[in-house]
Amino acid sequence: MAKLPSVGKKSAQRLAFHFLSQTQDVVDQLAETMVRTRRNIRYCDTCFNISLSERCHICSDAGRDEHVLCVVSEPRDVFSVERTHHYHGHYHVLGGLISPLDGIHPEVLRIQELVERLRSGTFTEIILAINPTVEGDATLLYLNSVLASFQIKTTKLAYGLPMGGDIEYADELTLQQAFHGRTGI
Amino acid sequence: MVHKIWIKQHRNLENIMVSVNQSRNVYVYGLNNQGKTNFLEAVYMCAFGRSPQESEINHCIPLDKPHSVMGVAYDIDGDSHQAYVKFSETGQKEISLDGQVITSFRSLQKQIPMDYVSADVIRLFQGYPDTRRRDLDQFVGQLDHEYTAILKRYSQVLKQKSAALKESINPSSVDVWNDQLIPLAEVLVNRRLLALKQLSDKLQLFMDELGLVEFSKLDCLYQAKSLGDALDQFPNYQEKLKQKLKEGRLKEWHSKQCLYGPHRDDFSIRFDGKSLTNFFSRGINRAVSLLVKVAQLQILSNRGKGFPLLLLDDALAEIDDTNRSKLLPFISAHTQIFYTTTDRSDENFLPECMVYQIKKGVLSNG
Repeated sequence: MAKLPSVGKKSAQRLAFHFLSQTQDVVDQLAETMVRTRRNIRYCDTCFNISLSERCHICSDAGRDEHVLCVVSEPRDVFSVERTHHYHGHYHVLGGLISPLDGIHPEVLRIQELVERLRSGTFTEIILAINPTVEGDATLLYLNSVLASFQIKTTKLAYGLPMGGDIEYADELTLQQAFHGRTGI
Repeated sequence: MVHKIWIKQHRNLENIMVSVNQSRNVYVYGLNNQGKTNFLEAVYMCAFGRSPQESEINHCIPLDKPHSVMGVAYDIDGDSHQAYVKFSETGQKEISLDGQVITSFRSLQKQIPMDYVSADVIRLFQGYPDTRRRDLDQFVGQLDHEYTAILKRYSQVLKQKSAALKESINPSSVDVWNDQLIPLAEVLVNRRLLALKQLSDKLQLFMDELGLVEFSKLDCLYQAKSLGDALDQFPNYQEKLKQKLKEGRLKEWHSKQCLYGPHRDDFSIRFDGKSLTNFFSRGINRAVSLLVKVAQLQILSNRGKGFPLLLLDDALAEIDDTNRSKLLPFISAHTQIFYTTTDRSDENFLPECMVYQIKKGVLSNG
């Protein structure tokens, strides 16, 4: 249990004792759901988001804007963007970020698949929604060099202050980026 | 200025209290292995929350005790303040300032600016460049918190580039890391240069006043070794580094190392062009290293209201009596000093001091 992300030794112990205090049926149902979910979930053949079929619910949706493609690192980023209800285009999930320390090189990511989608697709804008980490920036720089030949408008998400945040508590790099990305009012 | 220290259960110090009373400085003498360094370490931990030498706080807590407690009383502009710090064997730290629980040592560091200097200070100019880089980075980081964040990011990029050099099959795979390194490197170098300028000005004043060596001009020279050293090339630093990384791409690829950038830079002190490291004695090297620490401490303390405190752990070894008799009163005029040594021979050089003897972790007057 302690091998799960964000679960330390104490939390793992608390969870284990919680399961022991539950009835057998409740625990069986949970375990069965987990096994079934893992077995049935696969990656979408088009965008590599998690899906129950060959094409995920977003790629199958005829109402989505076919001209805009949002490139993200992981399937969980698709869920985060979807929660905003602000974006109606398609997605492409890279499956990670360039990180030689973790053995992740550009060839490991789904960049070739992205290039093929762009060649055959109708996209007029690509939005790179990549985390502003060292690895994220390296991936952005690499994608920028790969996408340069496509003559497609390419943007990245703005960096800066979180809503409801306080300038006093913002770290220096974030504040610096917020100044660089300032907009007119 | 600090006027009282309490230490409970720190290494071999069971329960001690040091009162500065009407004096300014504290002089502690004793034989080896009696607790002199432990005393200074505990004082340092009051403001920094970590030991200047030991990375594991656990090692500072006696085996049969659950925690260590330190307290310090000090005044700023006539107002008295008290801070307590408790270190538990589980690694937890509890800090209280004037009865209020606080979560960070940052405010304490501003109110009681201090530094710990041991006999190892000689390594600053007699040791390897990484010692000087680490010292300079720590100083610039305390002057400018943004520097620490940029340095951390630079180090992360450097680690990734290093791994890319070792594992990738294509030399161009490091380009995405170089593109990130270049702007960060420029910021680091510019801030190091600004800090060195301040340090150089202060040190020139100190050396002029003390007269330890005959000279007319002192320089703290920044050496961007991988770029060919020349300071006049720094206005185009980004271009210069970019060019060097491009030219040296294959060299880096074959050596599997990051060969160019501020992580390879160094600095030196020169008196009328003569290098301190190569042309002056160990005693002078030690004295200048010590004055660098005093200058750093004074620059840092000028930003806040707190009076600086220097913890000197037998740091004047190898310095002759004439120079000691100049150095100690001079440093004392700029900072408060807690001084430890093996005997009472330096007592007369240190003005306005309370003298304590330490035996088996117990302090006694005189």
